[in-house]
Amino acid sequence: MELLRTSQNAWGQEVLLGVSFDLLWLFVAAGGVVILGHALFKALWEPAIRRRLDGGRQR
Amino acid sequence: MHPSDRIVRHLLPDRIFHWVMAASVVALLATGFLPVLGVNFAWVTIHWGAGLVLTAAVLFHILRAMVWQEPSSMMVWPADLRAAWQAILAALGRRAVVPKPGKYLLLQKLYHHAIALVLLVTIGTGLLMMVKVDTPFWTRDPYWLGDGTWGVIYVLHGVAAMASITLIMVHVYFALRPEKLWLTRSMIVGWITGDEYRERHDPARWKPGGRARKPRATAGSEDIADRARREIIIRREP
Repeated sequence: MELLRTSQNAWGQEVLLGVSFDLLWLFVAAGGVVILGHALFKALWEPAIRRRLDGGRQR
Repeated sequence: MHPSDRIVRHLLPDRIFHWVMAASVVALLATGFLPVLGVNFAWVTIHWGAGLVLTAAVLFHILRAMVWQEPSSMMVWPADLRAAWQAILAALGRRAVVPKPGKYLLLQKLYHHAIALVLLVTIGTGLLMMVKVDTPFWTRDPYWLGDGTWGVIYVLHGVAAMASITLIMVHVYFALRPEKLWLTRSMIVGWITGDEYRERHDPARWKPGGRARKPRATAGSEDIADRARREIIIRREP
């Protein structure tokens, strides 16, 4: 995966055009990881911790 | 619920700013990335037009926040870090006393600073790119800066734009979380209930309608009621 987009100008010199659009999916995936991780924590881990802290009773 | 039990959290100008910013950012992301994804349309004018709207909104917010509001409410204080550490311990199942926050949690403040940095980079680089666009006010001059400099500007603009996608995804997710809907509601109607205020905020650190206060050093003695108002205690029941 390339990080940058480059081209050549009229004099044959390499010029920078911008960031590679392949990185777009990396940023979307990063957001997805945060969302999924938090959702799983809230759904699975936190209730178990609350049960353990409260000794099985509702707080 | 009686209207007198409502606590103002966001005034109308601030809510308008938030939703104008949200709409302009969505327009910018759509016009910026849909053509990349193959959806072709005349996007350039809409893109820089939405960019100017965003620029105006952000300038309004910076001026209003620095002059008419409390910048200290968005600063990260040692008390925020201590509270965050206690919250992490509590989340990991350790017995912890989690202090109630002022108006904003540490994560909210950090998010604000992250999105502010990202949007300022996109706005700054975007405004420079305006020199390369024909507008009613000027004729484009693509030679104003060298190729190398334009390349750096494009890279910064692209990275910041992509980073904003990540931040916005996370922001919308938390805004739709059931336990956060009271906050989302407050950005629409402007208020939270008295119970939500007392349950989730330290009155000593955030007085609605008054000036936000720098967290004080640990008090020598305070009564139980004061402590209950300031702390969420997570402990094992006997």
